[in-house]
Amino acid sequence: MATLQELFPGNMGRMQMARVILMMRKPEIGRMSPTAPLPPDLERQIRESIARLKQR
Amino acid sequence: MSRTLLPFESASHGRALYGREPLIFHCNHYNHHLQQTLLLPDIGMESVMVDAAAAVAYAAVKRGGDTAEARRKVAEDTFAELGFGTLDLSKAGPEGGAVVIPTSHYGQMTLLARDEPGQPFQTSQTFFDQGFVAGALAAIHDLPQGRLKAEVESCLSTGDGETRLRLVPQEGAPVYGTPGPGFSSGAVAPAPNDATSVDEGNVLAALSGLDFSGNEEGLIPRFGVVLTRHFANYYNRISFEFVHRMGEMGLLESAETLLVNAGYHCAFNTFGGIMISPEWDAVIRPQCERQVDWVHGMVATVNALGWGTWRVVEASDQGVQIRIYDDYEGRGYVGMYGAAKRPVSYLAQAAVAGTMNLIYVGDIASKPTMDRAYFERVFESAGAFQVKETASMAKGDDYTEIVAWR
Repeated sequence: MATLQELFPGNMGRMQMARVILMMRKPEIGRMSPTAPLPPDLERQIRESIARLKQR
Repeated sequence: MSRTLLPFESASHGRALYGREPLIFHCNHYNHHLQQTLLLPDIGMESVMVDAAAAVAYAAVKRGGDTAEARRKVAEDTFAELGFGTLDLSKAGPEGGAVVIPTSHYGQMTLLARDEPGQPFQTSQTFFDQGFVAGALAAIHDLPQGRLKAEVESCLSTGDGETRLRLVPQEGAPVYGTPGPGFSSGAVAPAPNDATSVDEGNVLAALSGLDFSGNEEGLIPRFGVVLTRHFANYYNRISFEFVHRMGEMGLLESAETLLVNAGYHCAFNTFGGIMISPEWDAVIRPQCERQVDWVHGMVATVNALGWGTWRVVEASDQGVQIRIYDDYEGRGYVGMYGAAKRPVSYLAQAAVAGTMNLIYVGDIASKPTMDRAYFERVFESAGAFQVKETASMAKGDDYTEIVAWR
């Protein structure tokens, strides 16, 4: 299980996380602990959104 | 190269008006990153970009003369002069028709700003061109704004050899207005800060001698980027519509973060390109006695971009306080929507942070290679500057104020 900090490292990651939040329409992600393990389903959705962003 | 253009009018605080529409300089990196920020699924920003472009084109071209032929010439020449590319409107009439765009800033130059430069997009990115053509043709043929729609048949941005649009009539489409020059608080900028060896008047005079008109391909390559002399109200409409739509979904803060980030790409690439350019070396660098003078030099340069008048209140290697008189985002916001509830000068925030980071974190004076590795090194630095808009003309203050610190 990954954490937000692992999925979105550094300032570049912070920008990527903002994009994912907008794409998923889930502002609550921005309020989650960056170091807490993500629920598996949410982690899967986040990874899918990251992949979609890279495809554009 | 002879072009038929509307008159360029000078306005207060370094602003330029073209057909009563304010013009500002922005680069292909900003245009790319802003567009990619807005293009989220299912929020309809594609049509916002098209309609925002149609609004400014319609407003400008309808001032282009008494005959359709005169307005067509102005539309084609305006597109080229302002750096958008080249287009042929002669095959389309009031019922529509085909329009070919052989060269295009949005179709070609935004590709150069991608993480993999030059890589074609999977879907067309030519929203501005679509809107410009639809709005211009409606104005040319004395039609109501919104009567024509531009459909994409082929597109440079997806790897085709040219962009080909098919104009078709439509009824009842929503249209945007444009506030023209927009709102001003009426406050007048004080004289430049004299705690510097940089002479702003000298900088502005030197920059006014440079040619920023589109070349034969209708493009403006300068300072290592490709510029557009763009319609401020296009940026304003698409940025603020995005903010409003995201805000309705509870996503305002993330949207604002990303708008600032798009502006940071602009500041990094354009300001960085300027500060390593021969023009900087010839005019501004010799005036800089201390590192902080680079901040004053960049601010003097910004005052030639049409973004309003910037004034340095104080600056050091630890931070900067800048007041902006008639910032284009504030003018446009109030003109479009009335007084703002929150600060709206996203680009200005990014430009201030970008300037400080280039000078004090990225050591731009050493002429680094302006590539992605350099961008990431500066952006990820623990010593990077943070930024905040501490006063906002759009909210009712006399000026917009940006503070950066670390």
